[in-house]
Amino acid sequence: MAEAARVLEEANPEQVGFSRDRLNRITDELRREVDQGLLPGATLLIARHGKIAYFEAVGFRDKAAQAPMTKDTIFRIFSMSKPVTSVAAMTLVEQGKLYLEYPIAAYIPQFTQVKVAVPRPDPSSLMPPAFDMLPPARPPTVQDLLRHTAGLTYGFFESPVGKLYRDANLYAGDFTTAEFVERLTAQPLAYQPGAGWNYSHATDVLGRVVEVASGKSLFQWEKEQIVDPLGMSDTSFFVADKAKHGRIAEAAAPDNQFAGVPLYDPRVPIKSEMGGQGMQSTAIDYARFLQMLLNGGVYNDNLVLSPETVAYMTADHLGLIGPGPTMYFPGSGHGFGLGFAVRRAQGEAVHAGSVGNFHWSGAAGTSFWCDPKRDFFAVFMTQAPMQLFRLTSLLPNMVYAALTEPEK
Amino acid sequence: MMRTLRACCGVILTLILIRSALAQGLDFGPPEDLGFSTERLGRITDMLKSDVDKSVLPGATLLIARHGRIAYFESVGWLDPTAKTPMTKDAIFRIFSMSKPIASVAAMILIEEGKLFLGDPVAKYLPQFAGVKVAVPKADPTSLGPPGLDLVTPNRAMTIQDLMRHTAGLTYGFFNSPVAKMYVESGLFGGDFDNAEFVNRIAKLPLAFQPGSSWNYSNATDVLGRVVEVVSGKSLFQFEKERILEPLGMSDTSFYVTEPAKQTRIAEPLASDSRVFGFPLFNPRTGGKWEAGGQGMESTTMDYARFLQMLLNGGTMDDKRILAPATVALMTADHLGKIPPGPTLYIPGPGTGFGLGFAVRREQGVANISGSVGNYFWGGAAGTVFWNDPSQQMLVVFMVQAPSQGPHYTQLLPDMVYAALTDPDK
Repeated sequence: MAEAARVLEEANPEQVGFSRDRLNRITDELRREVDQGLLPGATLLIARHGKIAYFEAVGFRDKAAQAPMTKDTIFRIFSMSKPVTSVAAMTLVEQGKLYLEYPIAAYIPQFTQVKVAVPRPDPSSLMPPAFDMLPPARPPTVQDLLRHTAGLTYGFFESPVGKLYRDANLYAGDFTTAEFVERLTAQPLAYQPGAGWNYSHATDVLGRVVEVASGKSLFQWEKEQIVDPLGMSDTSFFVADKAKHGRIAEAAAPDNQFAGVPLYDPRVPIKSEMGGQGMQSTAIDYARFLQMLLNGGVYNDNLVLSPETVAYMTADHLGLIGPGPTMYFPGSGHGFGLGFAVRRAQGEAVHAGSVGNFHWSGAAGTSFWCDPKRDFFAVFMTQAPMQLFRLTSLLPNMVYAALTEPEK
Repeated sequence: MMRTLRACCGVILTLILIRSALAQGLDFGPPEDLGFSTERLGRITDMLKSDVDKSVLPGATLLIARHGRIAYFESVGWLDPTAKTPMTKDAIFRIFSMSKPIASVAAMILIEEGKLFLGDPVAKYLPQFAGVKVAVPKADPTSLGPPGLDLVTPNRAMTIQDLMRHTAGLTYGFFNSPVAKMYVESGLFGGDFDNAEFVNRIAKLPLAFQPGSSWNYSNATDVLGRVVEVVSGKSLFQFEKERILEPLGMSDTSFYVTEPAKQTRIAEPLASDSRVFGFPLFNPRTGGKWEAGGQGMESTTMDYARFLQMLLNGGTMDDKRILAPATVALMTADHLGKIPPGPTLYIPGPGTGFGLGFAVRREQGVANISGSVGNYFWGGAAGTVFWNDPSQQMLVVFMVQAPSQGPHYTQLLPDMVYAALTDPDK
């Protein structure tokens, strides 16, 4: 099959429908942003029809040390870990070891007793509302974890359960993923399962589900099923190999914090393998992962998922489930699949893109999208948390502006 | 046999596609080659001539092109009905709101360059809007007078996308509402002002609706024009000239017609139909400061046809790249989704949503005019009308200066033009 043979290689941008002049505008913009101090440095890779049309590194890998950015720089990808964990879960689904419709409790028994915190209306009280702890209307399922409808939340949201997460010190000490899930299941759900899309620790929990279902650590399973077959040799939960330490990108003060906490040091070994946020990767590693998805689950003759499973993952799974009260990161005109935001409409969204695009990003400023209709993807790496939202519009706008011959 | 036929059709289709993609200007093609019935096109000419004879129209031009070639281009009646000078194909018309698509393309150019964002609050570029309030009628069951207004903080900031799809909460002074009355009474259009001054004035007035709550036609595109100025560092016209008008050869499109040689080409209305919302049509010969992105331009049939062909070509014309195909696709997609029509007249019409600067047809049915899903269109207050049909690779421009006839021709033209497209598979 031709798709299977598609291994990323360099090509002239014109060959795959891009205007070189218009791609250069992106380089100019990124350089300007480095000069202005908006970005410390960045790498951007764009590939179409399996060919790399653009791959540039600008600015600094470590601005304080004046070390220049290189194409093989390693970045904290935060939530861009989620698609990798989601693919790991789907490999188990394909092997009959995991069921999307099963309650999470089938794999993590602590979920059996998790209640939903429902605010108790009391118009006479000036205090924040108290809660009733109610049993969930239905048990949260593995599918809920993959599409962020389980009722979980994040501690950085300003909500009563968000505060409970913060007070519970979920991240204290050097914890295992199993311990993290124990701490999390001691807290109530913030929403009824299936009631709305709410960004959350769901993919960290999913990582633990993968461990239980596979009998291996999350990273061990990912290594065997995804990371090694795709040759993603620089993708991991911490950077154990000292020879690689010099390749780690650093953020530049003052934009070096997320939710008030400085970006962590990935050189420090830790026990937890947090499927929702813990990974480091490079532009080319992540590009291989995305090309595998665009190829329908296969890369360099290594089959990770079947085409049908990829199609199923990258379809909208929200249907009539609406955005919850927290910020709707998929963006207007988008739904959510199993691990990715999925574009539902040509319009409504605030940036260019095709119906069926799937995308996500990471809290430190990294982002990617795949466009199955136009058969291309872009992956952008930087460590500049404050710039994330702006960049997730700027990059599609400028990259699509450069795709002047989409029929090619 | 079937297969040979299909292969032949494929080759022809490919040739046509290549031809439209290259689109070296707009030349004439035999109507039948382009899928039109000459006889049925003739019915449109007869209708226009009859309306001129009945003094319904002073004169008009109509251009229909398909696959990048002109199937029909006629002028009928008078350029100036008072002076009895005949209409010409190069006549210059006040296009009013057909300025909006041009200002919208200007904004999208800046979005492609990473200098402007649809999701950004307008106040990021125009800080005057930072404190803008929404006027909400005060419920007072004991009062017999018109309701008072409470000024409340917007539920969310109005965005660039809101300006482009008319969901910012702004309105027009000609609507019958308390805020529209404030627009009129505040002297929004007093004296010789520029876009900066216009924004200073309009930002002092409250919004008529909550941002994003509903579609309401408005001065939003005038505000957008100022955004283009602030972001580009140029006047709206200067920017449009450099990035759209000159590359496309739209040499007769401008905010004022100060060149004496061109002034004799300006079309004039019938004395009996010469007012827009009570005001006589402005005189474009007198220069002024205001470059109103939402209403201020003059243009010709061929200039506007070139603009429309650029959009049909996915953003390019004569090897001049204005926008990329995905940007045109984004602009010409529906952006309303579940946002409903507001209380003012829903000009897009049934079965139709709104994109970034155009009404966009959502459904084959429901609409009360003929057309394809994905059609995008707009008109001008002096009666001008256009639409692009991407699925048929067709554009239509109708130019006239007959304000009262706009709504009628908005329906008549699609019905009669599609009636003449007898071989749409060609």
